[in-house]
Formats: sequence, structure tokens, C-alpha cells
Amino acid sequence: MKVLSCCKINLMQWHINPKYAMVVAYLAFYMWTLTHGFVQFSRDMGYPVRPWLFPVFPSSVNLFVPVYLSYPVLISDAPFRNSHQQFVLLRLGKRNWILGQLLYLLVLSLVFTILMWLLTWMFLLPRLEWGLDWGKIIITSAYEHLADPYGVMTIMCESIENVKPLAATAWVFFMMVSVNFLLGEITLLCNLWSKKGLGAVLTVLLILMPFIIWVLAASPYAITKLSWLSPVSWLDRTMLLHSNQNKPSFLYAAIMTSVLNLLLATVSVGTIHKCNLDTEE
Amino acid sequence: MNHEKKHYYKVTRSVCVELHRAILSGTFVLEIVLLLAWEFANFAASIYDLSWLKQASIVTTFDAAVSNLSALARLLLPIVTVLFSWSGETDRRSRYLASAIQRVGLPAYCAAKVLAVALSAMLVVFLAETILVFALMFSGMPLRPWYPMDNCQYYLIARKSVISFIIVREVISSLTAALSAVFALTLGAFLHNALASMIGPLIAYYAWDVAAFILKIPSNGLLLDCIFFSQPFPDPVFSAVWSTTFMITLTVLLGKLYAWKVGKDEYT
Repeated sequence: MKVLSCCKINLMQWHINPKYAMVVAYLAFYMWTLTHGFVQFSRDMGYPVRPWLFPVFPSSVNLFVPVYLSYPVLISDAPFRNSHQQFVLLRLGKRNWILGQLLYLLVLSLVFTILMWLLTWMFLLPRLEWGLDWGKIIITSAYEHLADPYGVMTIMCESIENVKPLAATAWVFFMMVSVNFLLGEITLLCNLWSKKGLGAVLTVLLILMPFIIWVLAASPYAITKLSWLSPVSWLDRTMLLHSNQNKPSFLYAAIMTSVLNLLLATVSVGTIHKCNLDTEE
Repeated sequence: MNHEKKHYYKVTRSVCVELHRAILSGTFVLEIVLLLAWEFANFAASIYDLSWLKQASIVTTFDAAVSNLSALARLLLPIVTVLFSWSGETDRRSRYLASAIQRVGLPAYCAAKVLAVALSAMLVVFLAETILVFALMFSGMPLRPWYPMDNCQYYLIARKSVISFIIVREVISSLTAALSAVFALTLGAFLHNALASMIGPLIAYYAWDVAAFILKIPSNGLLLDCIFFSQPFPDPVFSAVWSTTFMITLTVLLGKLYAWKVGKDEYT
């Protein structure tokens, strides 16, 4: 109960701190820019759009990375020590307090992922139709690139090959929550134990890694081995399970994020009693 | 007359102090490093294979580095705010703002702050892009591509003089940076939150995009994509004049808004 109330106090900050509203506004405007063209394309083609842009989005690295860079803004001040937290700390004790912060990071990861999922189909509503297949619009966009003149996001054909949309969505959803949580834990530990700001820098670097891999893969100096160390790349299904290209497998990605999440959570809880928690503004 | 002279002296002195604070800091160097990485990312994203590299020229590579919209070109807007998004809030919290206003007066402080933020944002972008140009020159790249250049991205200017092309593009990028930095400063005065003001320019950019679509704005001259990163009109000289005038006007208006907000907060 104490852990829950600590998490609730952080959630209440969403009303007060303008950065949350700013991130939501940024995501909404950005996603509108990427998706609204599908409505006109769908009208011109005469077919409805299916709501499955979410699982193909991480494959368009150059478009996905700028969106994902808004996540460090939300977590950069983890463990969210402000002037009120000193009283919370006194009442709850360090252990409950850090558990509350971890729970909050998990909730934040979940909310961010749900928001991303919602925004990938919300602006398609005038032409949206639910169905368990990819639909003609997404397939045509991926293989023929006929939607490109409408200014929509590029869909990589590899991202829809040999997979059902529901399975792909489930994978990206699970991985996004796990990776978000992992990034939150990294920031939290860095901010607790080293100079403030290092966590945000590390998180930004981790988010930029898929872009670096993408850029270097196109150049003669390809270093695809980086994908083994880049959790954000594991959201992109096309980066996984290409045994001939020495890329990580789905199992590796799932186990690695889960193990790292557990390990970092244990380290956070196990070492918090040694940490000097001065109040910060 | 004497009073006017005194006022200008105060503004000049305050600008010098603010510029000194902005430029002689680790953040300024960090900003240059970030911008160099940004330029490299934009340029590297346009390398498809070895044959592309063999065809590359200073004009096309420089253009890709500062305006590749299919890479991270738009991230220029939040990157340049790293240097300033904290400064307004830090001044307010450390009571530097109150003492500076007491010392030189509100108009002088605000004018100095806006000028210093705009000038240092321009300087940091100008330096980073000049370093890139020198690096490209030392790499032995040809000045122009071997194929005929279209009338876009100010390439017509490059046909006559590559130096003029680079100066025009650097001025436009620098003014974009100044506009973004002053926007972040102004937003910071309203929100009192550094992180929120850091992503503010990017939000405004996309919001403008949405508004332009809804209002069906017919001219490229009012689209920020065209003004910041490409050539809005067929005539490159008119485009350059239009873009610089547009950005300077917006920067001045935002500066006035900043002064109004700071004055309102301090005297109420």
C-alpha cells in the first residue's frame, strides 16, 4: 500500500509538471504528421486502413528515433526527488520509496507504450477498419511505396513478412514496455549513484543506437554487431533472427531485457540503504 | 540624448556579460560536439554505397549534413536549446535575474538576454558548420557535383559561387537556431521548466505543420520545412531574403514576448 501511494504521488505530478503535457503534444503532432496521409491514400485507393502501424513503426528507424527521444524527457529526473519527496521518504522508508519509484517507472513505461499504440491509429479513424490481416493499404505501402507521395511514414516490407499483425503488435508492445522500464532503471541508478544527467545522456545514446546501426549498415563500415548491445533495436523485428547476418534472436532479446530489468531492480532495492538521498529541486 | 546613450551602454555591457556567460562554458563546447554529431548523422544517412561517396561533393554533402529531412535534420531545434533552456530558469532561481534587473533595468536585461541567446545560438551553429566545411575541404572532395544541379536547396547560388552558397546556408541555419533558442527562452519564462522548454520548439514546428495543413496554406513561403531546411521559392536570392526576414521577425516578436513576461513576473 505504501509503495502504491508513493507511485500515486509521482502520478499526481503529471498535473503540475508541464513536461508531461509537452511530451504528449509532441507525440500527437509528430504522429499526426506521419499518419494523416494514409487517410487520403485510403480514400484514393478505395480500401480502409487497418490499425497495424504500431508494429511496423520501429523498423523505420529514422522516423522512430525522433519519437522515442521524447521518452528520456519523462524519465531524466528519476528517481523524481523534489521538495515533497523528503517527507514521503521519511514516512515510507528508503526501501518502500525505491519500490514505489520502480513501480512508477513501470506504469510510465506502460502508459507511454499505450499512448504510442493509440497515436498510430487515432488519426486514421475516418478510414479505419479493424481486421486481423495487414490490409491492402499497409501491404501496398510496404511493397509498392505508393503512399510515399502522401507524406506518410515509410513501411519496410521486411517488417510485415511472415508474421501476423497481432503477433507483431504483441511483440513490439511487450518489448517497448520492457525497454522503457530498462531505460528508466538505468537513469534511476545513474542519477542515484553518479553525476545527475549521466542517466539521461546514457539513455539518449541507447535510443540513438538503432540510428547509428542503420546509418553504418548503409555505409561500408557496417557494425551490425552493435545490435546485440542495443535494447531499442530489439523493438524492430527486422533486426532479429537473421542467423546468416549474426543478429540476435527473439529469445535473446526477450530474456536479456527481462534479466536486465530484474537485475537492475534488485540492485536499486539492494543498494538504496547506502545511498545519501538529499532533497533536490 | 545622454539618457539614451546610458541605456545603450547598459544594453551593450549586459550583452557582453551574457555572451561571456554563454560562450565561456563547457556547455558551449558540448553544443558544438552535439552539432557535429548531428551533421555527421544527417550526412551519413545519405550514404548508400561506396559509389555514392565517390560522387560526393562539398555542396551536396554540406546540404545533406544540414538539411536531410529523412534523417535527423529537425533535431537542430532541440539541440540548440540545450545551451539556453536552463539559463532563464537558473537566473530566476539563483536571484541573478532580480539583481540584474535592479542593476541595469528590465529593458536592458531582457534585450541583452535575448540578444545573447540568439547570438550564441547563431555562433555555435556557424562554428559547427564551418568546421564541417573545412573538414570536407581537407578530405579532398570536389566543390561541385559533376552532374547538373536542380533549382532547389539554393543550388543555383552554388553554380556561381560555392562560398556564397555555404554562407547563405550557414546564415539560414544560424537564424533557425537563434529562433529556436529564443523560443525556448520565452517558453521557459512561461513554464519555468527546462525540459519542457527544450522540446517546445519541436512541438511548435509540428503544430505549425498541422495548422498549415488544416488552413491549407498555399505558399511554401509559410511552411517551416521550406524556410528552415530548403528553398521556399524558385528564386534562390528572394528565398534567402524571405527566410531571413521571416526568422528575424519571429525572433524579435518572441524576444518582446519574453520581455513582457519577465516584466509581468517581476513587477506583480
